[in-house]
Amino acid sequence: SDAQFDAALDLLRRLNPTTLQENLNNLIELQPNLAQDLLSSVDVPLSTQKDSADSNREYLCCDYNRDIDSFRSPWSNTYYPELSPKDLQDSPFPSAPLRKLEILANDSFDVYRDLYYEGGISSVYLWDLNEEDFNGHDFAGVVLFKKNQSDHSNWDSIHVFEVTTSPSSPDSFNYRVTTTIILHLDKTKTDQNSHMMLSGNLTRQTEKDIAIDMSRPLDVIFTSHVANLGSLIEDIESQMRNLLETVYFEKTRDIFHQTKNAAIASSAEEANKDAQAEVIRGLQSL
Amino acid sequence: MTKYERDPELVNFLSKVEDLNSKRYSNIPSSKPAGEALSPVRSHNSGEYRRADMMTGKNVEGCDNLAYRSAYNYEMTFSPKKTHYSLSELNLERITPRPDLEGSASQKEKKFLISEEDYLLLQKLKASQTYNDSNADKNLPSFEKGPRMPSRGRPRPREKEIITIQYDFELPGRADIPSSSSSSSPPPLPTRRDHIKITDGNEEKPLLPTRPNKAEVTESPSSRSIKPDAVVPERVKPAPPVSRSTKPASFLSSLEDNKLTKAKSYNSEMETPKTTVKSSHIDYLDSIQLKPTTLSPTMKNKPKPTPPSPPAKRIPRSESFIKSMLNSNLTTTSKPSLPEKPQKLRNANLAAHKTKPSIPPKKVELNIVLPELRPVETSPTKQNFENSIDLPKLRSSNRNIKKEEEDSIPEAIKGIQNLKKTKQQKPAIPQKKSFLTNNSKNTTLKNGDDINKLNDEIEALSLRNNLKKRPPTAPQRKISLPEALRKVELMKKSKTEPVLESSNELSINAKLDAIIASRNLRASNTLPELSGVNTNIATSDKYTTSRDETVKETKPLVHPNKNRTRGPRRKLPTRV
Repeated sequence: SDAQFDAALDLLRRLNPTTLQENLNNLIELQPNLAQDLLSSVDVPLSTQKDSADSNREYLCCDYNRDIDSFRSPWSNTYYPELSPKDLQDSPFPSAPLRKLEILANDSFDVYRDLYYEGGISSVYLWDLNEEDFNGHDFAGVVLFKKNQSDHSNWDSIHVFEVTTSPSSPDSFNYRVTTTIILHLDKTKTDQNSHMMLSGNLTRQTEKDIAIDMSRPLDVIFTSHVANLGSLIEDIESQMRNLLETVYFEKTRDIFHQTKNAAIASSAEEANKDAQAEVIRGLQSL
Repeated sequence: MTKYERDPELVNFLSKVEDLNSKRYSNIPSSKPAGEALSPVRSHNSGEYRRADMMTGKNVEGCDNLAYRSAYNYEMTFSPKKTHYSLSELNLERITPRPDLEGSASQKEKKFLISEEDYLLLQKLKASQTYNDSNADKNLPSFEKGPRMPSRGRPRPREKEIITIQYDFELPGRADIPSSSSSSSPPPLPTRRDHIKITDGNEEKPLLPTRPNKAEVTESPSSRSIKPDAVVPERVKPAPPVSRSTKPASFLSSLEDNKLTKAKSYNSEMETPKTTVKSSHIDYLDSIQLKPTTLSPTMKNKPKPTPPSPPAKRIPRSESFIKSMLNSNLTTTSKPSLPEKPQKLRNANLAAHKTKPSIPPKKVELNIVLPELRPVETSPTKQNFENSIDLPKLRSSNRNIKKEEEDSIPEAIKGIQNLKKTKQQKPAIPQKKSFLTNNSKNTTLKNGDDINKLNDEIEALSLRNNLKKRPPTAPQRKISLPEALRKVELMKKSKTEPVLESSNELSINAKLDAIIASRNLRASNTLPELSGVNTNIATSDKYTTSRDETVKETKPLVHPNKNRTRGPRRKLPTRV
């Protein structure tokens, strides 16, 4: 199963990113026992839902806030579409202190989203890692950002983080953030004359141990967690954005120009060869 | 009705008629009604003037005269005017005075207009009689001087009878022929031939010009034939071409220089090409017109067959053409060619077939054409170019030298070995020298061994001297560079691997260390992210990134998402 899971992940990385959702469904149909792992491990473009309880405020949907076919709203902590009471009993909900932290994180990252994205949607979902009561650590969550300039150009940032106590020092916490940025640029629908589509995803995993004074009150600890996560995600996002701009887009430009210049260079080489051949012929005819 | 201008005479006549009418009606107002004065023209037509004259009995002659003049003038004015009078109309028209007016005339004048035919007949008759008397008997017209007014209807005065003969053609020898009317009268001045003068006493009436071309063209040659001795005047036009054929060759020879006759005869006659060809003086036009006849006979205006003389020339050409065609068929050259060319071409072809090996002469010609430019410049450039291009040869030569050098390497090694030997033997040499010097003093050799030793030492000395004389030989490579590089690589491999290979000789701790080191090396190459993730636990301040895209294709992909949290427990979606 582990090999199948790896093979599935390899396959999904090599397939067309625009049809990632279809490929994932096909793989799940092919191996249903891998469905849970694949759904949680494979990042797909984010979708949006509206929270009717919070004046139809939009929220982002991923596999971490999903239960059956419903998605929990971070604003009202309810699943939309609403689940049955029986399903709601088994549905995952963060604990109360964690929900408090989740609200704080949503508010904080909403500000961040407004500052950096100047639009878009952000959502933060947290869940407990331990079955025990939340004591200020061992929790996990996902920070989502989505911005779509048009219907077919999207920027999706998915930051899955885990906050655990560091085994080396009890006063520090380990933050491991796995960031996936899904970028999809499509000009097919906007401009019929020029057909250009660029799509891909970039995944980075970052770990950082940050010391937090646990002697302080829980709210302060929450705030420090949010601050640490925020600074960490800020760094990661800026770094990955630079990577996209300087490495991938520049590399794409390099390839583009190289193909163009290669054609020119090849023609220049042919011209030089012809000229050289003519010179040699002229010299031989003397 | 055509508009016409009234002559002044008519105007005068009409005015006179009006006067007469006015006089008559003024004299006899009651005899005629007043209304008739308004239509004098009608009265003219009805002839009431005669009646009036008969009735009055006055001015009979005047009335007749008037009537005659009026009728004449009427005819002259209202009849269509004649621009000219032809000879036929004027032929033998005898101007006779009216009998009622002859009484008043003092002299009689007879005027004859003789046509050309009659004149010729007369000349023939005279020539048949006596040629000498002909000039004396000939009656030539006498041209009287003085202007004469036209005598329209006017009665002429009777004068002395003068017979004037008008010639409606130009008499060739008119100047020389005296007038027949009176021998005393001087010969008249030459007049214009177009004018025909009518002698009417002292007056001459110029008539309208006649057409002299008809008579001249048709009749003048006969007169010439009649009078062969007559000198042809300068202004006489040349005879028509019809008479030329019958004329003797002297005339033709005289016409040779005439361009017009040449051109005409060239286009029309068959014999003219002979004359034109014979004539040495050929004009530009003649030359132009000659060319098409000689080159292409079909270019002529008349599609007549070829002239008699050129076919005589072309007969051999046609034969040659047939022969050439036959020859060309024999030589399988199907191209149509000009009559004379095939032989040349055949010869050329034969020459070309023969001169296939004779291409060098052409080159010689080419060299002759440009002897000074190319041979001097090309040869060095060729050599330089060949030297510059033909690098493999140089390389091969170098390789040969190197091979020779390599072959000579053992000898050098031997020399080096000898050098070493000599170096090793050096410390013994001074002793031997001293020994030799001592022995030389004795000048006696004790043993054969000593002799051998001495020989060896001498050889060694000679070798040493030779070595000293020689420049120090640089150490030469026994192995080429690529082989040396291979050996270096093999040495490096042997340095890395012998750790394990030679581990048999090492202790167990060393073996374990080597194994651990090799594993660490492999791990560092293959899984840097995982190690970073694992090691970051200790270093909390640092964060490492796992680069999944940098992993090579041969190695398994690293999926960071695989290690992340799976999220809360949740149910699968219904679509799965």
